[in-house]
Amino acid sequence: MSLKDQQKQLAQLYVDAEFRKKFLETNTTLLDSNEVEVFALGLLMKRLNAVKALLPISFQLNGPFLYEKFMLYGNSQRIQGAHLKHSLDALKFIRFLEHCELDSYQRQVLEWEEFRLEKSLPRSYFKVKKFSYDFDKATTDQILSNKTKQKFSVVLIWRVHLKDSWKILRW
Amino acid sequence: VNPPYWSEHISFTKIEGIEIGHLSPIPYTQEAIEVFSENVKTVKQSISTPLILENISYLVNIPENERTEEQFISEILENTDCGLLLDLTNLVYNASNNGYSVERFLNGIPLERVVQFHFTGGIYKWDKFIDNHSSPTPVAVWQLMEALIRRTPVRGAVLERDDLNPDWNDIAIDLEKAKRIWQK
Repeated sequence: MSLKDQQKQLAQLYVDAEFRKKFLETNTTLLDSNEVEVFALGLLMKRLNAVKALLPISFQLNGPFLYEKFMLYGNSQRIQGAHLKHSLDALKFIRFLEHCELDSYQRQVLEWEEFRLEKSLPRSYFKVKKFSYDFDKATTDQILSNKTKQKFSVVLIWRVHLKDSWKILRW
Repeated sequence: VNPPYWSEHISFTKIEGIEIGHLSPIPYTQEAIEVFSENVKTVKQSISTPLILENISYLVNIPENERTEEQFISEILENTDCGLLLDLTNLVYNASNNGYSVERFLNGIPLERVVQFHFTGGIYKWDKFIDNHSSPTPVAVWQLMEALIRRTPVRGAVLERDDLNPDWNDIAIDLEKAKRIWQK
């Protein structure tokens, strides 16, 4: 198995409860299942502590209930992103709780903490990149394939040399 | 800021969009040594400040390992010509959790490459020592620090206490202890 495949399998074992269960049940591996379970639980607890710190009042009001729900949530949904991963995790957890039974006061507190958390997130701005092409020499498809790569982009192309008229070639 | 060096862990945290959320051990294989060393070389081309590499704590032993931890680290340090940021707590906890001696590890690494120490205390949970930077530095780590300072010149040490609501008194006591060991 290549290093990349090994690392992918290990990462899945650590963060994907369903994959872990199946893998440890079906594979005759030398991997110590207890070590994997302990590490996976440690990762989940780390997430829980970060989310708890971001939703302090809710956890103070109803800690055991939220702890129990977080275990269900955390085992079914992976953490994503880099710098804001815990804030995004907390917001996703709040959405997970939408269908759970909470009294109206707890619900209001949770909504307030959600509002506060959303406000604390930095706004995303478009990054504007200027570039120009000689349209006589390049097709739109060639330009887009060069410039957009795999990132999501909004590309506006217009002809600047045609006086008083512009045309969006692709949105 | 003009740091004399900067550091990174010998670990991985993400692969093909799967975010682990914590430092995880790389399989100790020949391929991993080659890939890691190449990655370090690429980084060094962009950042001229010397890079030092840090050992992590780990709970999972990967069966496909072809090297011991100290062999793996030593080969990477040799290939990349990097210094070592030796996390003393990680070393003590790894040795205890995985049943080897600290001395075996120290005998297997190029001690002359140690540039800096990290030290802290963690917790004992689920039958394992877990380095979560949450408690005073344990005796075994102080003993190791004292022994190592006698064996190799080290440029600095950092106390890691980044848990929530730390006890400031504990932190002050640990810093004083470290200073005393340093000044002996």
